[in-house]
Amino acid sequence: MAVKAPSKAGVASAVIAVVKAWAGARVADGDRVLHDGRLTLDALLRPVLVDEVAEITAEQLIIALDLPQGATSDDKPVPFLGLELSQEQGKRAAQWLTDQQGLAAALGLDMEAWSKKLGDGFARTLETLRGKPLGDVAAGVASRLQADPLKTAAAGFAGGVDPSKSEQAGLRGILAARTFKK
Amino acid sequence: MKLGLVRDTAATLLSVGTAGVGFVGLGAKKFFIAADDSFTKKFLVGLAATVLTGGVALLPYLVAKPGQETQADLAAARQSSVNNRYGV
Repeated sequence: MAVKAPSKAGVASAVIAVVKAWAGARVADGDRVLHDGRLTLDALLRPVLVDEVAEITAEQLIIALDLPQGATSDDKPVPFLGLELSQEQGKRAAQWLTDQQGLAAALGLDMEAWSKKLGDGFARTLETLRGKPLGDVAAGVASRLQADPLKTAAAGFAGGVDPSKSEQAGLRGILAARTFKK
Repeated sequence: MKLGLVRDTAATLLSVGTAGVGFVGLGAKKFFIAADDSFTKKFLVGLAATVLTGGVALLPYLVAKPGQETQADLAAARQSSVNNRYGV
């Protein structure tokens, strides 16, 4: 089932141009195109670009998990965010995870800062998608994220580690949206 | 970093169960800073996240080189989001 959010208005055309160039780039060139595009923007527009990329990247995960699963009955389910994904969905989730480091670098952010931006992006994206028809898995991810937002979920990580004080906060933040086991 | 060391790291983490969280918080942080090849850094990011979130099922995908089809799926998802957002 296709996930479709309403179009975004009020974003500077220069930012949109950079985002479109990034989205249209070859997979191997995406980070470089984003990095170079960011540098062409006025300094005041760069935070807007970060926010846009964060929302798009959050929505990307939901859309990717909503794509056809290509599963067979023999597939062993892959746990992720407290859900059971198909093997194909597991591959997409893992690839999405690994992509975050390149994105952070392209945006001139460290991993922790990008994790926080992603958390904000998830929150805004889920608000935008509220009430929209989602596939089962995408709806499950959205539900988990709404119940335990990215920025605060890590605090529930085993032992109640405060993500803002943890050396691993940036790494944790990438997947902190999951529902941690208490 | 040699792949053997990566495997050893994974094996250690998987064998010690929850105690691996502490390892990730200390040793892997040093590995992460010192590692100079992108694959190793990606692996450590994924490894930390996988262990910290209590699931190891994603590990094979994080170790394996990403498939072109998977990358294409994600690229298509990103393009779809951008098209919906700004119009085609």
